[in-house]
Amino acid sequence: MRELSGDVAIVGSGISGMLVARECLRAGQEVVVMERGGRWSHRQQLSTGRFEARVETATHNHETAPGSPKYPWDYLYAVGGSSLHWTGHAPRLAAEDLQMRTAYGVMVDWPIGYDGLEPFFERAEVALGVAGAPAPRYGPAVEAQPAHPLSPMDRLLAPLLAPYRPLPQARPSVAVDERPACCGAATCALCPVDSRFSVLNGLGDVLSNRALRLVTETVAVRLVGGPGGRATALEGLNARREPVRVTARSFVLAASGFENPAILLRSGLERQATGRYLYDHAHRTLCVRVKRPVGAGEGHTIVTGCSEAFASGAFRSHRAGALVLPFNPGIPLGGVASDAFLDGQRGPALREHVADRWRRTLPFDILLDDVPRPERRVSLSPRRDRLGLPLTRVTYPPAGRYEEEGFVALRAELEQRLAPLGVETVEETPAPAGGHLLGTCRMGSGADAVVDSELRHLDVENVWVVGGSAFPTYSPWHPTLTIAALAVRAGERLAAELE
Amino acid sequence: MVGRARFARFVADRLGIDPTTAARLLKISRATHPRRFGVRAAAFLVAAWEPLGQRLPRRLRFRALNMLLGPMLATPAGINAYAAQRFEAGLARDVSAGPCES
Repeated sequence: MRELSGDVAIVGSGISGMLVARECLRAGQEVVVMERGGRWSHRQQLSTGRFEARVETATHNHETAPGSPKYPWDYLYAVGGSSLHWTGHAPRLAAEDLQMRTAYGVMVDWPIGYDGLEPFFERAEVALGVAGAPAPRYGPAVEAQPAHPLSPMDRLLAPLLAPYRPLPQARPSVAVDERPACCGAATCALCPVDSRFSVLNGLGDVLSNRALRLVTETVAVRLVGGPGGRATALEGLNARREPVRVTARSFVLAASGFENPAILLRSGLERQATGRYLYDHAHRTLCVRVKRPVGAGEGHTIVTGCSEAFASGAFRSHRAGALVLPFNPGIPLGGVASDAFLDGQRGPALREHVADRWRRTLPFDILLDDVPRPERRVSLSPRRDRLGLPLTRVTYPPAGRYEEEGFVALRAELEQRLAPLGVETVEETPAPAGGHLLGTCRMGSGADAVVDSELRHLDVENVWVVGGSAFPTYSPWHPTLTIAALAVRAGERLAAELE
Repeated sequence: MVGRARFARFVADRLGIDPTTAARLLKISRATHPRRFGVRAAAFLVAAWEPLGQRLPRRLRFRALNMLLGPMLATPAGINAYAAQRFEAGLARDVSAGPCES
């Protein structure tokens, strides 16, 4: 058995785990990080088109529960976690998103308000190099990261879909440290110049810190308890099926909305809410064809602006809020070209038909929230993976009325607002998964919670659970910056406690 | 077996672009969706070869065409190359909106 020890043991090397690690390292503590994925550099990603190393421990280990519809869950097991394929969109959650019960009489309030999170939002924005953040202060070398300018498509839409603002992005508009400014290549998940934040390019100093030991290709199996309701060790299993044991004073689970609850369940640390209230940010896509060119194919990044017209209001008491993001590259053209071919078009006439559709169609990525539901959950399967561990079983019933009615109302109002452009058709097309695994270890104080407002486990005081799994409700806004802010806050509290 | 250059000419003819552009698009498609590229190319060939393709039911023919065209014209690079005939790295920068510094 391989044995290690440190002040803090962290499971997962994604954004939240590494931000907690950074706070602990700054306080002089020794950190051990257990990561089931392998190292896979940006250069390797570019040369292979893959985001993660093909190692046995990084094999995805979830299954769809019997009777539940299949869902295209999107996550990575790698050093850097899902930051390696992140689109980099980094707005803050709105204040009302943290107080849905108080503001609209639905769902629950977070145990922490916007004012309490604000300083941590700012620190997270600096850590991630967010362009267009509300109050960025980077320091003498780079004083500010201006927002990426609104694209021609944004400028066409802004008066019709007000309030309309530049979208904050972890993609510098001014070179910062080793990261160049965004080059506008429109291949944003796999940034060709390594501008978009990832743990590898933005927190490399944490990974290479001498007081941090990174144990890769090792799956965290369970936490082991001792007297007084405290965890004493983290047990893992590497690709050769050799046991690895890490003893520490505190333990941090930062391994996603699937793995965090699975580790707790394998450790016998089950609460009523553990694994429940799972949510992937709902993405819907609308393509609106109008009578005039819309500026497709131009802009500094794939998405530069967002409409907040549908994100806030009394309607959120009974239907979902939504964020509307125009997609600068324009609509995908395969279906249009195939249809035109079947209608008898060939050669230059076909191309001109397709190009005309492209020039006159607005593609919108629409993000909605939904009511947290306990039946959406992860649990442990009786089936086992290659390492002999239970698969993570995912039960995910389709969207409820709250989300669906939000989308229906948005679609109708969007069509009305765009009428001055001469709307010809509005079509919903298949959308990708959100790639945000939220809920499953939610923040709160009662039976419906797993961690407290500081992200400390409610039953085991030296176990912390960070990341999107702690969200008690969701939001139309992208969650990553809030995940990062909560991690900085938890890391600061943990470091202070250990000193 | 149809060679790469011949296949690119075939695609170019059907889609109304020059063979060089077609070859670039096929390269983008192969790079972004390397799995089963040969199968997708063969499906397109059958569906777009006339009169053979005309014998297919419309729905099946659409699927066969879209097996190649869908991934090929889904990425910003593919969209730009086909619709805008532009082969720069990505989006056209809008100078009037102000430059990004680097």
